[in-house]
Amino acid sequence: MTGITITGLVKRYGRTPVLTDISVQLAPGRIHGLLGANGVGKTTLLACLCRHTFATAGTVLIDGIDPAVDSTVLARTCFIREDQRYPDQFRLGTVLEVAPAFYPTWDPGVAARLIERFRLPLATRAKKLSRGQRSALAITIALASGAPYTVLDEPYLGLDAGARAIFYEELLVAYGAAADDAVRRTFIVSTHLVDEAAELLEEVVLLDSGRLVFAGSTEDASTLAFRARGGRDAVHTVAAGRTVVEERSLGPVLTAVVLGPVSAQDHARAGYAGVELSPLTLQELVAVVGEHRLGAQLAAPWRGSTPAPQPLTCGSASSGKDPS
Amino acid sequence: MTSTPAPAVGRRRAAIPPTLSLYLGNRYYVLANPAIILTVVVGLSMLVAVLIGLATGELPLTERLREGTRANGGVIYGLPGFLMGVGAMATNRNFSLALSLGSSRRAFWQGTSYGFLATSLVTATAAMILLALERATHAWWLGIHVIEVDVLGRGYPLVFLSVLCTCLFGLYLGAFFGTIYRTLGAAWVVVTSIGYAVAVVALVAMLVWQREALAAPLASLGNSWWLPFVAAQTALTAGASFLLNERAPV
Repeated sequence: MTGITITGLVKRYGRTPVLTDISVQLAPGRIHGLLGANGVGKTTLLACLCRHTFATAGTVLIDGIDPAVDSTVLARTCFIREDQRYPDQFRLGTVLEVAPAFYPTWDPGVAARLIERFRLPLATRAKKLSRGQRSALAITIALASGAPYTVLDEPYLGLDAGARAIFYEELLVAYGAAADDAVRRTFIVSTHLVDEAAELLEEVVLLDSGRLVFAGSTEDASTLAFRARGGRDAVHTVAAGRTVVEERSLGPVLTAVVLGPVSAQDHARAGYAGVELSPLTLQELVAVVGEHRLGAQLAAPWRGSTPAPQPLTCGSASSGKDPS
Repeated sequence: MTSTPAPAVGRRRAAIPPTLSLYLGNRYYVLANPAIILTVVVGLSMLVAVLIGLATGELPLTERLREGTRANGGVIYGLPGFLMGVGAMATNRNFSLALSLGSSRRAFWQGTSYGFLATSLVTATAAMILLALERATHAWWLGIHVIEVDVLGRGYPLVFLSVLCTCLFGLYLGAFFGTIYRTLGAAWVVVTSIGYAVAVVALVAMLVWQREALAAPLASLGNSWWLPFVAAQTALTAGASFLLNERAPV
């Protein structure tokens, strides 16, 4: 079995639950986005995954191997934490001299290129680095490591737009560097800049209050909720029987965020009522889930046997005519 | 479905364990500094001897003062403080980075222990070189003894062993408290420090209480009677910090 399999993962600090019954399969050779509001347990999940901390219950398997049983499997991982600490005496250059010893797959060419592109000051002590430089260093190590499972925890903090563009570009280069799918690396990216990173993500893991809300492709994530825009009564008609989590009025026009996938019948009803349906972006979805604490409501239908969801496409506005 | 390459578990077979490379990342700090401290102890001892000679009007030093320098414990007092800092830092900052780079806790401990041994061997070798210089210069031209002193023993093997044990003791004691800090927090460092101090006082009290029974076996060790106790403490702190390290979060 390849990939990362998390089963029934629970993490508590004292009596405070941080992660509750997380079960998810992270397919290999994909770019996964770990999304959720602040404090939902993203970093804790990553820490449990790489055994930086210990789960209260549950198991994590990396390529079918439990690191608790055979910890050498952790050599396949690279997880530079958002608050990574470095030895006080180390200069940035020292860190980059030491890191290759850990990875037989280390690519010095990638490291040299990123050092130049991020303009990393090799002579500066690691503890004196700015927030952005620390992020750039973390990205450099992570991408150059060649680790089969590379975890990036808020990798862009402190980076300006130009540096973030370099990161996105280099991530895709590292991801696409494999000659074939069989040797493609797996990236797990925890991020707040969801919209900016959305195009990179192939799979999404969405957390809320320590619980798994959704795990699947980005296309499937777009079916978790949708926006309905039109006349007040018409929107209410379309959303009848559904959970409306947010309503905003602008004059006679009402915009509502409605949970659940959109079926063909919904499209038909919307078209008939003159209501425009559009998908939420990933960023909007994360914001809505976090703001309204929707974890339980979204997780339930997803795990259940709801009708096959139909992805929305932007601009699926109805013509206002009866489709029949 | 795609699949990520699954290299054989533990396939890294580098000549030097990665975690040892991490420990040796700043060689000057972990290898050269202790030797420099020894050299500074020699320099300061010479300065103090000259000042004493000037103050007592016994310069050049009299035979009485020259023999008095055999009680100089500068090396024993000078090294452990710095080495405790090295041990504590190694088990904190290095630990975090090692695990981020895919190391297991056990591999980290193994590599760091090799590093502690390297620091101790280099420092003990530096003491050997200083001892050779001390003998060649007739005790630093002034007749003062810094390396070949009572507490370290006389002769190369005993001095080597004493410095080696002192270094390992300082490093592992630092690692012990460093691991407690990382695993249990600052409050437990205070609690453990108090407990450790009480245990040491109790040990000393027991030695005094049982001095007659212990006199014969300890006398056979001469001035190096303290070595078994330091070696035992080193083993205890190393074992305890190993066990704590296995359960330590980043």
